[in-house]
Amino acid sequence: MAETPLVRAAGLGKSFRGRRSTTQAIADIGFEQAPGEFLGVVGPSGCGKTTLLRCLAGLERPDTGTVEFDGRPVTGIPDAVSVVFQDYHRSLFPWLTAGENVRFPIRDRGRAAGREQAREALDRVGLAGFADHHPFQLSGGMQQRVAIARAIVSRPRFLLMDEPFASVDAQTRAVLEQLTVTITAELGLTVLLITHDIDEAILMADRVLVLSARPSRVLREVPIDLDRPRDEVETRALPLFQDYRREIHRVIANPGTAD
Amino acid sequence: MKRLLGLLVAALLLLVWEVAGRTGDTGLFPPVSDAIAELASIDPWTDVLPSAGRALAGFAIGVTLGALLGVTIGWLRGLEPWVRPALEFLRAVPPPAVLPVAVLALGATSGMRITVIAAAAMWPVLIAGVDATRAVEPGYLDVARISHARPVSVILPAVLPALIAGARIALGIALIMMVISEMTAATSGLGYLILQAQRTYAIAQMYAGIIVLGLLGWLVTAVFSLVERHVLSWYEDQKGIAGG
Repeated sequence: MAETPLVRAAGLGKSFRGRRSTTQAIADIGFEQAPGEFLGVVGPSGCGKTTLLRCLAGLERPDTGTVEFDGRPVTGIPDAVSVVFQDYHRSLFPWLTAGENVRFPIRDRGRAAGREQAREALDRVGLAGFADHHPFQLSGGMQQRVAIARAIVSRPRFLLMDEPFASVDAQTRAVLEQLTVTITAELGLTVLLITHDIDEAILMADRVLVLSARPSRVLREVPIDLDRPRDEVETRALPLFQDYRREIHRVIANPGTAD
Repeated sequence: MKRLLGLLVAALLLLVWEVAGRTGDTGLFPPVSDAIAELASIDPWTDVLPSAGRALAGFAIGVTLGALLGVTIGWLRGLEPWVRPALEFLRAVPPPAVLPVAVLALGATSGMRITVIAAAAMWPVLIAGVDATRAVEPGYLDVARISHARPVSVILPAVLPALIAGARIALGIALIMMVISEMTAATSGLGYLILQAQRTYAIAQMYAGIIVLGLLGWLVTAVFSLVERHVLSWYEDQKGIAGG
């Protein structure tokens, strides 16, 4: 990689101590991510993807290894990092309107400026005019759009997404995937997308990190050399797309034998 | 129409009371018209307001303390094993039982009555606060952390519905404790008035006092509901949508 990486993780390990036993979620994860790069992370379910994301965001302190953001080690939660969580039910505040939810990360920036930035963020996700609706008055897809707007309103440099489309239906999912790629490209964001959906990772990412089952480590890095803009239907039909999908499936199915 | 039916039943009950009072001849059960006439003997300034004031003061102090303690204990999980047994014991003590202790410690004062009202009204809010705080969605706390916000800025709105449900129970308890505290070592107040009327065979006045208590209870509950609807409009709307 010619460019200086924005994110660098090395030797990340994290265990959770239960009452009876200790579970090692991630064993030894290392990777680098260039500024502006869209990185997909896939792996079998329960493989510690969310733990990885929480360590990268500074929400969890790894037992071993280091995370560096912009050349500095991550100890707390870096200012320029934001997260879209998996379940909008558990991340949008029901007592706030959509506009107020979006304004939450920038609540110290002054009322008028905050309102304007929140309106702009809602515009970007296609929710102009819904600022005064409460989350429960919006559909699931619209609620996840609000969550995306909240994640970009502070103009972060690094956006972490934890299975952001797992709770919406297939059509909405395709629309939100396109929307996310468009917005993050416009804003020049560096994105790390955690997903269990291999197709989604190939469709969206510049590079896919394949993790093993728990305790997880990086099995393979697959650079995705597909032209953009990618199309939900056309791109999937390309032989190259199918090759990527086959390769990733094989690596996950036979982690030991994969060459 | 439904409201009319309810009023009809209320009117019917009053009619039964009136007829029963007029046909009885023991003098221990006056007709409702006599009780209503006796309302004039109750002075709102000296009999009702001091009582209501003590109830509200005790309620406000109890709810505030209960909310503060409840949220704190719920938030500091390490604290709970230390305080849980003591809390379980203290909340199980029926509040009127502490009244003799309070009279000894604080004397027959207004402050004593406010203290026992507060001590009783605190519990439902405290318990609701502990449970609701422990149950706050961890996702909300993650969002707060990632947004560099203090945890309390999401905990308080998240537990507010539970605190207000606890406060609604506390309101009833405050009124009960108001009456009971005025029946012990008292020289004024609605509870004193009712007890004194019964002891001096002013039976109609006794019933008048009970009617005033009922009206007072109805009034504070109505005001509480108004405030509740205003503060928790999002919560009511959400329940409405989830239910329909």
